[in-house]
Amino acid sequence: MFTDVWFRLRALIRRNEVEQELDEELQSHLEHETDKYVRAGLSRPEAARRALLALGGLDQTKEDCRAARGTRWIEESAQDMRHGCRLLRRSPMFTAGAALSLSLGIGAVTAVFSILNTVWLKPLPVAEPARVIRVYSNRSSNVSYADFADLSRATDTTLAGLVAFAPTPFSLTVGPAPVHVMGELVSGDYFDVLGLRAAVGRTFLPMESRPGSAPVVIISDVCWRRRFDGDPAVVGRGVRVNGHPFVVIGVLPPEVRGMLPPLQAEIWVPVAMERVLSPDSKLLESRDAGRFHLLGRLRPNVTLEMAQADLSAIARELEGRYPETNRGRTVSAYPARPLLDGFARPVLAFTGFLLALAAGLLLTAAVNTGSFLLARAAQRRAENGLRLALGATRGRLIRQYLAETLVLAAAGAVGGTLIAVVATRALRALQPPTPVPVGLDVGVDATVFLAALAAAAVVTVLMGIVPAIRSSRDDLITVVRGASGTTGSAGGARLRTAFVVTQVALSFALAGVAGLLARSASAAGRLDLGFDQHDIWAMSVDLETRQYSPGRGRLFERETRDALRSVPGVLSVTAADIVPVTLSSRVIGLRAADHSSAAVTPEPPLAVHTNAISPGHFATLRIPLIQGRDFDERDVEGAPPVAIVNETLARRLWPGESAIGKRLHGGAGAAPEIEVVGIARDSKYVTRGEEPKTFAYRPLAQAYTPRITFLMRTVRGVEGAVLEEAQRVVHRLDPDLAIYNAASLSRITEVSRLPARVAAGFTMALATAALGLAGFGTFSLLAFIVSTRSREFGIRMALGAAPARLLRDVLRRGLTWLVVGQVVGLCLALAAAQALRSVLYGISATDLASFAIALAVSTVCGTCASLAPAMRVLRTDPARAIRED
Amino acid sequence: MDERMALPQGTLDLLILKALALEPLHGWAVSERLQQMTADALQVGQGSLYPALHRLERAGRVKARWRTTANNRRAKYYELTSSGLRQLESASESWRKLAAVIGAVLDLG
Repeated sequence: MFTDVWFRLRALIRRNEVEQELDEELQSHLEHETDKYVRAGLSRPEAARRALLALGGLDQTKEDCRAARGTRWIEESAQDMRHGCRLLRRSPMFTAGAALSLSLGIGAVTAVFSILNTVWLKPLPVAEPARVIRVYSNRSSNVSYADFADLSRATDTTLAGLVAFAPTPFSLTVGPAPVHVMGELVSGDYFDVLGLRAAVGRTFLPMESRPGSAPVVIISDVCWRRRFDGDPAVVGRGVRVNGHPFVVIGVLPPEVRGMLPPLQAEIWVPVAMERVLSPDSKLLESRDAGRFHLLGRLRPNVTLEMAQADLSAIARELEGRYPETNRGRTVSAYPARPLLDGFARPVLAFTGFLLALAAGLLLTAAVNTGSFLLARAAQRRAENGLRLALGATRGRLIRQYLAETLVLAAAGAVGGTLIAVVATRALRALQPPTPVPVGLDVGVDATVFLAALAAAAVVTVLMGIVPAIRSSRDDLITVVRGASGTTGSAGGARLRTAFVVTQVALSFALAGVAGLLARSASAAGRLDLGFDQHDIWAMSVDLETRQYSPGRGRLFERETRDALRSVPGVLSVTAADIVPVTLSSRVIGLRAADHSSAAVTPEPPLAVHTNAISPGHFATLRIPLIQGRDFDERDVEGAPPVAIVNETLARRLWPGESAIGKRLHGGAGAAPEIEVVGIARDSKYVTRGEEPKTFAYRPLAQAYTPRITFLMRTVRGVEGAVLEEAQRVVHRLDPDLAIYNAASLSRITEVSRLPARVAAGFTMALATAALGLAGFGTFSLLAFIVSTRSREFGIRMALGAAPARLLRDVLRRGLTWLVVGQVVGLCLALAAAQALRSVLYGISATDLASFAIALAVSTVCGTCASLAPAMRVLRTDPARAIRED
Repeated sequence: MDERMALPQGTLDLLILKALALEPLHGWAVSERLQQMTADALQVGQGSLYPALHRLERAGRVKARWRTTANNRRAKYYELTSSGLRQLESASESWRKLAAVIGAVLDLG
């Protein structure tokens, strides 16, 4: 084996030396043989002739010896590559055009694939990710810390380690003002089990995970750069977390951004510090509070199933021991994927759609290049015929064509990777307007590069194989008989026409889909949201980071509202649990309580979207109250529970009656009944395109939540000044409370338009590229036809045909392709639109305007592309054209 | 017409290994030795000898070294390796068995 490889390598690398040795060896043989004949009495020239004869021809023997080296196919491939490069250099325009269009196609596919790679293929940034598992509970998927402590017993048998972490918002004070950051509250051996090392400083010591030790925190690379200005002496610096003094002990490497992407964790706090952060918290003892995500590491030679059995046994034991909390609670282990399943599915669907579009562009580019190659193959028919006649094998000819295509595709792969690098860099920099920073660590890695190469390989076969096989069928006789090649082969022209029509169809379909998405995105911007989001400024706080009791939280909320009302320029203020149209929602079960007597079995509760708001909400957002009253200062904790419903819920529960004064029953058991005091006009609540939803508002004082957003309606044109003053107001009340999401309401609601806008922008870019390619394809095929038929045109002109007539002939050909392509493309686009129906806002899937725009753009492109070569006919000089050939 | 027997497929390698078993030889000497060993009964094309030698070298059955011949010419000498020796033994063995079986079948007459 080894000698074999060495032998072949030597034959390849020291080719000259090996050749020379062969010469010498055969020469030596001939001399010996000649000597023998001379000894037998022949003359030296005659002896030399006989010796050569006995060997059977010097060159033939050499050729056989070369074949015996086993390096022929490599040498031939290298030859083919060199030949391909030479041919491509000879027509730089074609080469540049083809490489560029392939780069665009491969770049688009690669960029989308890199997203797919990040959300689905790339492992968690931990040591040996293949042995890491996630453990979920069947209840609310997360696990309580007390249960985790018991499940950790599995580390005696199947697991090398089990860690718990809870994604938690923190208020981090580094400079003068606190900032709101995402962090993870982690069990003590989190870093050791996951195999994470600090880039600067260290990770937690075992003693630091015990209660009562000095409070320490580890920060991410992003946090270090953004909040500490990359301070090289950051280790040992004091900061405040939720108002408590902590010491920074380490900075993690850049790739570690928490174990729950796309959430971007910035700080890590040992779970033992929970007692420092909130002394009253029952988080660590209670078996009800399932806030922890678990990651386990399998021991060597242990399978997922074995660990599962182990964990299930412990879960069953807990069911028996703590029946009131744990009955029916099971745990399941899964291989650790970067994204949680619930989040991954929509992302996968979205990227899958983008991938299909990108593949469409790549296909167009491949077809375009393939059509050029076909034209070139037609020009080289004589050469092919000659080579076949001289003994080249068909396989060799096909391989040579594929080598040429491969060179092009390789250029496309390199260009495409570059485009993908630029695109993913832009994508990484994109910071969606979400309350907590989210982002995907999208980039081009080895897997992505391999995908680009695979795309290039597929393209090579797609566009190279047809011209290659056709050219291998050429034989000298037909080539010579067809002589001067004035008409080219009929089959080749038919195929090229089919290619051009395909391109027109694909580009038209892409343009149609782009039109739909763009119109939908802009329609979404104009949709009536049912509230007035102009001149409203928002800012959010998380009172839990400061361990406020509900009573103190309610007080803080009222005081802040009062203080904000006195900020110059502020007209009215409200506070809410959820900001409308930001893709966030809260759902509760409700049913009408006084609708029927207890004899009738109660209807199952209705799933109703809800929001907790303070008085003044409807006035601030300008949502009309149709009946009844707004919440006011009477509706406090302890007062009779009240609600305001929207029209849809009122109609649904009490059709034909007034809802005012009716009672709602929330969920199970002895919960107090809720009186309806008002009816509000329907508006949009979660997304822009949603159907009317049943909705119930509750007073924030009665349905307390620690995460609240203040919304301020201001006079027009105050811009950011009012926000700055508002933040000062909050910090006067609590200097350690971080404010986040401070922006105009219209900016915050932009998040609900993001997917549509990304899709529209991406499709538009693809469609533009595809239209350009199709136009280019039409142009070059027509130009080719015109140039090969110049003689015919010359004759017709000489015989008196009007130039306009010839022009029409050529033009008609191009326009026929265009129309056929558009019809096929329309069918494709309509099919795609059907699939997209659920994500289109405000327009129908057969939106006429979108297709009209696509039709117009495609027609202009196609006509221009046909006109240019057609004009060339007019410039034909009959005398010259006839004399040629 | 040459009345000598053509070489059955696959036997050339075996014969070359046998020829080299006694001592290292250069290409021409191998061809002479083969003529001698087969008493001119077999037709060994000199042209096919060299590709066969190179194939054996690639497979590691023989190794080659340049040396000076008795009459002061430079020549490439081939020498059996231990793997070549093993190959020679096993191939001879199976060849003998095959010949015996075929012979027995033909003698059934």
